Amino acid sequence: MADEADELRRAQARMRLSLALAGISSVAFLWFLMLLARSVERDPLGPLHDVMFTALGVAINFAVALGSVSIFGYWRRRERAVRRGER
Amino acid sequence: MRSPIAIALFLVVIASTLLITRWAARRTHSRSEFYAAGSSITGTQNGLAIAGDFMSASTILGVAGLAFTGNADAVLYIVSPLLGFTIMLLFIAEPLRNLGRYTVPEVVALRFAGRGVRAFTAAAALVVTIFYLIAQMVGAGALLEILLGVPYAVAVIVVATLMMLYVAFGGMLATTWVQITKAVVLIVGVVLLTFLTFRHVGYDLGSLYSIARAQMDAVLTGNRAGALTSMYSTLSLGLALSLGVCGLPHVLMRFFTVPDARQARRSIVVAMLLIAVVFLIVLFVLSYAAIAFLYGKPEFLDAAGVLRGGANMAVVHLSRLLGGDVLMGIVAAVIFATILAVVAGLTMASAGALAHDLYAQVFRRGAASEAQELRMFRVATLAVTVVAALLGIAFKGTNISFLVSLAFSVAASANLPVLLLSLYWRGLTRRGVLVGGAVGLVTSTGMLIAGPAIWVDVLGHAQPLFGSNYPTLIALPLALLSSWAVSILDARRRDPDAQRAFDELALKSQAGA
Repeated sequence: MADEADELRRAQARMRLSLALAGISSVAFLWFLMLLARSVERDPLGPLHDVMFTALGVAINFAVALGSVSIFGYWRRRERAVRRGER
Repeated sequence: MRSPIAIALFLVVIASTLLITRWAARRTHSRSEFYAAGSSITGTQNGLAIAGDFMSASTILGVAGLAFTGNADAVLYIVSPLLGFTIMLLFIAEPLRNLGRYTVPEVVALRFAGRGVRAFTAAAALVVTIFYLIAQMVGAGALLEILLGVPYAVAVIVVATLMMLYVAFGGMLATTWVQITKAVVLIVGVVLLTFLTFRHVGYDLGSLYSIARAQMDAVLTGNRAGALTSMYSTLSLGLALSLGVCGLPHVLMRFFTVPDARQARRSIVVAMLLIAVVFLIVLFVLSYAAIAFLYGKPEFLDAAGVLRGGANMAVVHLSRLLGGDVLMGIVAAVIFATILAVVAGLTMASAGALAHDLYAQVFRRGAASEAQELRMFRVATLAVTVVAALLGIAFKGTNISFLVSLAFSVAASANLPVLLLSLYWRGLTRRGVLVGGAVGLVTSTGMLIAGPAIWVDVLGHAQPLFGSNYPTLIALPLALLSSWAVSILDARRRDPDAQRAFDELALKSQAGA
């Protein structure tokens, strides 16, 4: 029972982290989408013309996605270490 | 465009994949081996296979084609899957691996036993895979017709026959290794094209962009028909392309092939990195190279001044410009391998939903023996093949991007809400699943049919009933809202048995206990 309670507590903490990471990724994505739409409003070729703007937007989204993946991976490794310590 | 090198390389691809199937068939006997390769695939191998499953020919060629015609939607197609795979890693991969064995509907059925929910989730999975399969068959027919000069129907039948052989005899093991092979040759092909592009511009990427910009100014006026032209369609397509990834049955099914949750997580990280690298190269190198070098070259244009075979052939023409017939043959063979890998994954998911969920669990109520189920799996594979080939022939000339967006929209609006709510919301009831899923399915397909792409372009009406081709921004919230409302009003919400079922599922999904 104690093991189950610990697992559920860990799962809840992980869920909070996941929601935060997903929130940050979604905000970065939606922000870039809005910038893209505004750029196309001004000039339909805007995002293709302005390589720096597009590359920067894609790079930020890529960095956020990679960052989320790395933080989640680190969290899971830490969980495993704690679980091993408890045993 | 028929070249002996291309034909020889096509035959090499066919022979290699058939050898893989023969090897896999000798190792595939049980139900677990057929559906999930005996959960023996490592995380890295599965990551390669997911990348092979996800990167379809229509995506790769379509993105370059969009950019080539000045449609900035290409950027949306590149960046959206990053969010989709992140969400898959955070919320879906691990619980799926911990709960499921063979198919995605099985996971939802763990919480809501009985035939109704299982039948619905299997049917929704089938709708998504069949639409995606039609898109791939139409793309395959058109590509092989252009690349090899074979008639469209023959090309569709050849691809259909090969996919049936892989799946019916080699099961998930053959499908996995065909996908891994495809991912590797695709990455090699894309890197080779990138290297040759760099050499062509004297290793100066800045000059590539300068030439491309000059060409855009001279030739392109910008495409005002894309999704990015309105905020609604931008957000709606962005949602479909990102969240739709998390509802694609053929991608989700791959998590059952690894031994544990850790390998499932590794699969996504590997897949995400590979997909990101290939997509970034396709957008930032190959698309700009096509714009810079193909416009104004009469050998690549038809009498009307349009690129031969359409804008989707931009990468193929670019390969011919950079490396002659040999490189074009290699790229054509890579595209062919790409098509085969994706259709094999889709057939696997469709046949699994038919044989395991609908036949063994819904019709036979779990009473079918392993041998009977595997026999039905082969029959289902044949049935899916015939249906896919017939629909592929019937839908000749249909806009492939539209068919793909239909699959993504239904996946995001019908499959994903049901899966996420089943895994994480205690208050969900059986009625909530059925109503929410049905609302997502009907709304997304209904709005697509009522939109300009079908109502005006296919059915010939003067005005569309719904002004956009992108329904996800409306269909997904409606599905979630109706699931919530129906569950809240359902008296069974407080049923102690249902509460206990959720607690057990939550513990098992998070801890694998």
